[in-house]
Amino acid sequence: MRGSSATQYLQELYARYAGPALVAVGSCADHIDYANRSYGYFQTSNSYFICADPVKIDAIFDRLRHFPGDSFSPTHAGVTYPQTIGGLRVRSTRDLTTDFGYDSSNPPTFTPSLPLSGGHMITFRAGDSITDGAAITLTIRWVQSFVFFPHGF
Amino acid sequence: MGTVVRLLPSWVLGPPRVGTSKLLNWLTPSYSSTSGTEPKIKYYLEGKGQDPHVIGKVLGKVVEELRSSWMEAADNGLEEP
Repeated sequence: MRGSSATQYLQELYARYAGPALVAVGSCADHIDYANRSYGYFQTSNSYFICADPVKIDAIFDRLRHFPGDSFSPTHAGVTYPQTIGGLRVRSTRDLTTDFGYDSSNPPTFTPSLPLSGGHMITFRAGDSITDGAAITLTIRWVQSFVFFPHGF
Repeated sequence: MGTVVRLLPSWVLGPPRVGTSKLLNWLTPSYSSTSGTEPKIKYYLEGKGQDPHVIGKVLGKVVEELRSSWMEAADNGLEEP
């Protein structure tokens, strides 16, 4: 969905800035450069690890919630999410997993504003775009298998 | 058109049998690197900053730590695309 709406916005941008009548406002590339200089540059890196073993999945996420040597999360005793990643300090952690609902950026209840679901999903925000060169958002999510039924089924 | 949660576990239907029944092939879950249906841990990583080269380096470091330290991918036998 994000890809579809991004394509639409890019086409609107192109339609507005690529036409000869609006040459005075600059090219599409100029506009994107201007926007990047104003709002920053964005880059994504999305991929996955294949794992069909639910026991192993639970163990991996359990370890992320009891990460060695890290600090305490106020809502559940003993839950300690990682505090650094790639040399960046984690600024906020949001766990949208059933029984683990937690949002470090929403004190004093630390209740997430988004709904929880059964599959593991944790989002970390880390770093600062000025002092570290980049601020990152990392969402890790367990995706169960499903089959995509073609039209008519 | 719709995305439907798998109704039967894969062992009920067995592996896809090419050439036997087209209907069975449609209904049989098959895991391939492009189908998007295999069970996996997905990550979505976005970086924002003033220098695109710096962002690229930071994202690389984040993925490396995610792989080696957070997921322990080698010890857990996790495969990557």
